[in-house]
Amino acid sequence: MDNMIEMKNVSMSFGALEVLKDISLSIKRASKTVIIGPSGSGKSTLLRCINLFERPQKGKIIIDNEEITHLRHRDLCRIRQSIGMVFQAFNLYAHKTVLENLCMAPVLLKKEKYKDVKERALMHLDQVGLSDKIDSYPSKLSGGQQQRVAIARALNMEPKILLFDEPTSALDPEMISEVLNIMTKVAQEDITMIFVTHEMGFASNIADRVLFLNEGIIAEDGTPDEVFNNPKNERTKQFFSKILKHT
Amino acid sequence: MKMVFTYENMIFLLRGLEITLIIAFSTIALSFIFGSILGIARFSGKGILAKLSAIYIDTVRNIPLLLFIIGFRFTLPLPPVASAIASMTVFTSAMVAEIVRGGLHSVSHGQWEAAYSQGFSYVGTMIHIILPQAVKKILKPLMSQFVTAIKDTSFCAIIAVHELMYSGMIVMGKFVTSTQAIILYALIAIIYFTLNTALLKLSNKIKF
Ligand SMILES: Nc1ncnc2c1ncn2[C@@H]1O[C@H](COP(=O)(O)OP(=O)(O)OP(=O)(O)O)[C@@H](O)[C@H]1O
Ligand SMILES: [Mg+2]
Repeated sequence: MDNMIEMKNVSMSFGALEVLKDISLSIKRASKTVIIGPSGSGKSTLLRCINLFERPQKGKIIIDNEEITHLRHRDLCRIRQSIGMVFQAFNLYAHKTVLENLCMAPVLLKKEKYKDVKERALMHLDQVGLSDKIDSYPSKLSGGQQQRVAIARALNMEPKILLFDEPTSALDPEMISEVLNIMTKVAQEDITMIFVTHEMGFASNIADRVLFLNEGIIAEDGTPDEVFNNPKNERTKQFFSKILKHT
Repeated sequence: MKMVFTYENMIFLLRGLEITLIIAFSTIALSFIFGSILGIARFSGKGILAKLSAIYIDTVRNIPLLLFIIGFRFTLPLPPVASAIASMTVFTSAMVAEIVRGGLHSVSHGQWEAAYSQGFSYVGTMIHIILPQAVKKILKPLMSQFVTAIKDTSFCAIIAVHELMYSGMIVMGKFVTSTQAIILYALIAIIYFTLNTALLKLSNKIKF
């Protein structure tokens, strides 16, 4: 099978609020998917179901042909080692230097040799253009730099899947492009990636596939050109006209 | 004047100081251990352990220390100093627990999510990510709680433990003029003050 992620009839509610409604979705190995949609439509929740940060009440989630929905905590930790996540708020380990942020989990969890992990970390820091910051603490970095470190930290786990939840939304405008440039570069890698983002230009550049999520339902699913230029759904058209007005 | 600073009086007060230090540092060490366990248990939320910790902490924090000191002395078959340490530990542990819990809560939720997303377990996240950050925030309030514990040992005078305060009161019995009394109390105050200031200075030196 060449699907890296499969969701089968996934439904997720918070109390009485049904956030994901019977979602079925297959994501191809090494593909790049962008998810867009209005606030509250369930984008984050969908993303967080993939590493089981949220446990759906119904349905199955299958990662690399292994069903994870009913795994015990210990096995789930093992699965998460191969699913990287980049957060809106960066979430670098505040008490660790940049290099330590990258090396901690591979050494402690994957039991790799520090020497190998460090070598790889230096390579990834070079990739995100922060070789000169290896000994800095996160608080000494700009938002854009922190997010680039967070991307390098995720890469340094050598994940099969990378999830990005609005990685540029917390950044000052002048830092957005430096992070988007790095993400465009990273998107060349053979890792399965899903981006929740409102950056349409970036999406057009790198996405094989765009999903438009509306009220917990995938209302649009196609190539960037199909979804952006010929949306089938009335709600999608409204959404784009609003976004275009604002930018 | 001569009557106050006699060799015997000074030795007697020093013996008192020794007992004070024994009670204080035993209390501090034990409270640090029990308080940390209680605080982490309560923080961790679910389960009987968390509930019991919460009940313990909230009960003890709302009862005056003096009641524990007196109550323990008259109900438990312990020698005076041991009874003093036990009662002060019961009380101070609850204080330490709340400080520890507050420190844990002050570490942002994003740190947990980052660690979980990389595959850390709850315990692994606690040990490698959360506790090291909480410790920094805990240190100052913890030290000030320990200074409070040192001062609170003076309450043990009420159960006739021969700590500094009680020794002072015994010496006082020999005096006739109020000047002598004032000088003696000033001396005792200076000893407590010096001890606590030194401890705070020392704790300021600890850097991470
Ligand atoms: N832990 C939670 N408890 C209760 N309700 C939640 C929780 N997480 C999300 N929700 C609710 O579920 C709905 C979908 O949230 P979600 O975060 O997935 O939306 P989103 O599409 O990512 O929105 P945004 O663009 O604002 O990030 C929202 O109404 C939100 O308030
Ligand atoms: Mg969101």
